[in-house]
Parts: sequence; structure tokens; C-alpha cells
Amino acid sequence: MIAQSTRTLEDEAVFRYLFEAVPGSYIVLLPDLTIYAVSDAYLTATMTKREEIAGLHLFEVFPDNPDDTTADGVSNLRASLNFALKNKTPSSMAVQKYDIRRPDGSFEERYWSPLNKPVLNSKNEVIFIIHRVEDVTDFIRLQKERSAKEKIAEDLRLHTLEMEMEIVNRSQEIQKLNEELEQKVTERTATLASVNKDISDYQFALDASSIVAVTDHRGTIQHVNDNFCSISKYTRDELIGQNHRIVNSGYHNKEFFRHLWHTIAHGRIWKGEIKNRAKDGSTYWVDTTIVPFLNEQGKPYKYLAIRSDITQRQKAEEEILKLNEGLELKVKARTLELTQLLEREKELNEMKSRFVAMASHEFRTPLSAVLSSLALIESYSKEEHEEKRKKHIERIKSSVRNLTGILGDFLSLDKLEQGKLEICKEAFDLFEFGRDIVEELNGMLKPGQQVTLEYRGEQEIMQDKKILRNVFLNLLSNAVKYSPENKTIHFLIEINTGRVLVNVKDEGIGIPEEEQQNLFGKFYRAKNAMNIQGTGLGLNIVQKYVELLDGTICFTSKPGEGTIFTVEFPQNLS
Amino acid sequence: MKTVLLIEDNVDIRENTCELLELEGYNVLVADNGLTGLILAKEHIPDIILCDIMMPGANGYEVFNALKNDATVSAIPLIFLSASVEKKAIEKGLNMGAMGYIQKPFDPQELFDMITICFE
Repeated sequence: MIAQSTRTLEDEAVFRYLFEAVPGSYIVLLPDLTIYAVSDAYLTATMTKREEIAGLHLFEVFPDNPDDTTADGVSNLRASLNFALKNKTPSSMAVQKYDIRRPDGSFEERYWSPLNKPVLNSKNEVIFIIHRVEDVTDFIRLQKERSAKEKIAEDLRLHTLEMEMEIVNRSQEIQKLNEELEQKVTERTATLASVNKDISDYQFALDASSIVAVTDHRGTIQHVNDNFCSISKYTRDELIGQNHRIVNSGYHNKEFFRHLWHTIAHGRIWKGEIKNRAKDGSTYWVDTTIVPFLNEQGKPYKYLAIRSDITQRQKAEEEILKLNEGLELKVKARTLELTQLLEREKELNEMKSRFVAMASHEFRTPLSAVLSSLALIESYSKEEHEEKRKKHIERIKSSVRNLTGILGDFLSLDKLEQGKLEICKEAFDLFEFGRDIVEELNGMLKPGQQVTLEYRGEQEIMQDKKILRNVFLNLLSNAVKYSPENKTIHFLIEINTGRVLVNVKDEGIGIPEEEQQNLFGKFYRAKNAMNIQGTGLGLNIVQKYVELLDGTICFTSKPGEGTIFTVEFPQNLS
Repeated sequence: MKTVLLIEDNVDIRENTCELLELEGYNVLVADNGLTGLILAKEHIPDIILCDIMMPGANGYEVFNALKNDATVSAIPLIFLSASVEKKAIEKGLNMGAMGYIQKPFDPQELFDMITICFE
């Protein structure tokens, strides 16, 4: 109507003013869907301003809410507008969710009921489309709220029903569980009762048989049984709270207990034998087993010590050990004795063979002389052989004397060894005595040999003359026998402060060093003297004689150079 | 006349044995030790030697060894005279090659018989 009118601008302004004031939300669109006019109500409803939207394309002003992925407002509106343009009939749309953009760019949820009515000219052409919308947001919202509440109510009702069912079901379950539990409790009670009985039986057996103590992890006594009290002689009150060291006897070393503690502190069982001390100081032996009880961390929190008294056994063992030691000592002593006896027998055997060798030579040689002299006497039957017969008779006599002398040695040895020799003290002049002996010796000297006598000090002594004669003659005749021709034998006698010192020094063959220690042995002959006549008894007898006179005898010797025998005895025999 | 060399340290035995041998018709040389005996043996080459074993200085065995090692006297027969009755001593002497072994004291006839056997 406006386009073809020739009405004044004033009229148009009035109509536009009237249109804009119409109550209701209207937009007048040109066929290209640009906004031609808009009512104030529309502006209010869509939170827009006229000057911002006039002349713009409808969908430029009202795009879809980009946050709402299901938004189909624009396409629905476009379809409705196209329908109106094409069919030139009004198109009403169902309630549309068409969110409105706020001035700040965000969208506000809105529901609309739109109508698009084409305005045709006389040629039946669409010149305008009147687009009317009604904001039904509040209605829709209310409707929505109501249905939500109804749903909640329905849900609640259903839920209550379910709950009721659940309660019934649960009650039944609980009832069943209760019954089962009761059954289990009954069973368990029975088991516990049986276990309790077992435990008390075991404890009874343990207490009856063993010495029992329980300590905490530090060794502080928490429990002891009667056996422990009776063996340790402490009362229970004296023991509880004390460290187990109270019964330590000090018998075992530190290492012993360190090992014990190391074992049980690491959760292992320790077994061993311990000597403990009772209250009265007496000790007792116990065969011990210590069992550690472990907490959840595997650390011992208490120890159970089970012991049995082995004192008697230990005592018996000690006794046996002592007896063994005694026996060993006895065996050792006996062995020593036997060894000595064996040694003695060996010595005797050696002595025997030495005796046989000596006897053979020393007896057979004079016997040979006797036998051959007798044979010769038989041959010399004529008168003129008288001299020769006499010579051989003398030779026989001398040989017999020689044999008698050897027998005499044996007899004096026997007397000496049996202690039968009696000492006869007498006072005499030692110087004269020495001189007589030297004289006696002169008949035995080898060619060129001589004996010198040197005398110092007092002359009067009180001694056994017979024994002294034997000693001196023996030593001097040895010196003669073992010295070559033309050598001197030095005989020195000295009396000094009540002691008599006698030296017999020769320049003979000497005594080999390895033989010197055996020289006084019975029948003993040094190797270098084997081929020289002798019984091996002389020095043995001399030594025994000197001892009888309360004296001593010793010698020094060097093979090839000579020997010095030194005899010392008291001037006056007591 | 056969010559006998007698080596013996014991004067009684030496003189008696010498006398007995002379009475039996032997020419007798005597030595009172081994060394003298060896010298006399080499000097006179006796027909037989009688030798003691246990003597001071060189003993009988040593004398016999020395004789055997000397070609001039090694063939002379030798009889040991000894007071030793030990089997070992007798065997030793015979094993060395001695013609005989006579134990002291001896019967003079026993000695004469053994000398006679040696000459046969």
C-alpha cells in the first residue's frame, strides 16, 4: 500500500508510527527478507534496537545460537518464509526454540510461536511478508518445570517401591547371614574350647617336665614356672621383672652369649647347654631351647626358654673327664716309667755285650797263657829245663793273679752296688802314701815312662787308706796304660783348707769327645781303647769309691794330647 | 825248616807260643805290634803268619789287608789267633781270606795241626 501510494510523507510517518506502536511482535520483510519495519514490542522481545537492524537481512540479525548444536530455528524459519513466498499463503510454524543474542554476544534461551503472512499487490505479487512472533518462552518453561516435577514425583514413588523391596530382600539376607554366623560362632567356640584344652594340656606337660621361663625382648623375666623357681632357688616374686642375667654363672664367655642373642634376635631357635647359678651360689646345668615369638614385623617380642636339668649328666661327664685326665697322666707316667725301664734294659743289654766282649778277652788271654805255659812245662821234663819250668810256673801264677784281680774288681763292684763296703777311717801321712804308690807303679811303666809326684800343703789326713789306694792306683795305671813310651805322668796332691785335690795328668791317647759322657759306665771302653786290655770297670769303681769318700771326680781330655783326672775329697772324713 | 811269623801284643802269649813252635821245629819270628809284623813279613817272607786281632795300633784285620795288598807277601797263608768268641769276628776273618781262625785259649796241638794243614 505504501509503494503505490501517493500519500504524503506525513501520512506515511503516521502509519509507520502507528505500526511501530502495535502491541505485538511484528517485522515487515521485503521479499528478499531484508527488514523493512519492526514493531517496538519485537525490539523489546529480541533485545535489539531499530537503527541496528533496519535494512539488514533477517538471518544476519538473528543467526542460530552457535552454542546450541541442535539449533534449527534459522532453517525452520527459512523454510516457512520460502513457503509463504512461493505459495503466497500464510505459513504458521510450530513452537520454535530460537535463542536470542544478547547485546554482549551471548544467547538467551527462547521459545517462539511464529506466523509468516505474505502481502500481495494487485498483480498478485508478494511485496511484503509480515512476520509475527509470540514469545512463548515462559509458557514452555512452566510446562517444562511441571513435567520435570512430575517426573521427580514418579521417580520418587518408583524409588520408594524399589527401596521397600530392597529392604525386604536385605532383611532376608541378614537373617540368613545371622543364622550362618551363629552356626560359625558355635563351631568356633567348640574348636576354641578344644584348642584351649590342648593348650592347657601342653602347658601342664611342659610345666611338669621342664623348666620354663618367658622373657620380653630385652630378657626381662615375665613368667617362670615352679620348676624354674625350685632349681634357681628364687621365689617367683624375686624373678619376675628381673633380667634373665640373674642366673648367669659367669662360666660361659661373652662370645657364647653373643652368639645366643644373635640367634634368637634374628628369630631363630637357639639350643645349647648352659651352666647357671642359683640364688645360694650353687650352679646347675640346663639343656636349653629358646624360642623367639615374632611380631608382625618379624621382630621378636618375647622369648620362651624351655630347659631341662642336666647337672647330674654334666657332673658325670666332668667326672669322666677328670678320670680321663688322671688316667692320661697315669698312662704318661707309666709310659715314662716303661721308657726308662726300656732304656735301662737297653743299657743293661749293651752292658752285657760289653761284658761278654771284655770277659772274653780279659779272661781268655791269661787263660791262654796258663794253658800254653802248662804245655811247655810238660815239654820241659829234663833237669836242665828247671829254669824254664820255674819261669812258666811264675807266668801261670801271674796270670792267675791277673784273673783274680779281675774277679776282685767284680766283687768290689758288687759290694759297692749292694752298699756292703764298709769305710775304715785312719790317720796317715798322705805324702808318704803317695810316694809308696809311685814306687809300686814303677814296675808297670813302659820304656821311657816316668811318674812325677808334686805335693803341696799339710800331710796328715783322716781317710780310708784302702779305698784311696785303689783310686790312685787305678787312675795312675790307666795313665800308664793309655800313654805311649817315653811320656811323663804328672801326679799332683794338694791339701788346701780341709780339702784334698788330686790331679793325674798324662800325655796319652786321650778320650774322644763323643765318648766322654759314657766313660764312667760299667764295662764301657772308648773306641780308641778297644784293642788295649781292660775290663771297663776301673773308672766305674773309682767313681763309686770317690763318692763313698764324700768326694767328686771329673776329667778333661783331648784326643792325641792327653787327659787330666781331678779328684777332690775332704781332708778328714766325717 | 819253615818260618812262622807271630804277631801278638801280649807278652806271655807271644813268648809261650814262640817257645812251643820252636820246640815243634819251626823257625819263629815275633812282632809285638802290627806294624813291626808287616816289616818283618816283607823282610823275611815267612811261610805262614799267625796274627792276633785285638792289638794296640794296627789290629789283625788291618795287618791282613795290608799284606794282601802287597804282591810280595800277599800269597803267605795267615791264621788269626783271637780271644774273641763272637761269630761275627770269626766270619769276618775267614771271609777276608784267612786260612784259619784259632780261639784263645787254645790247645797247642790244635795250632800245630792247623799249620800243617796250611802247608799241605
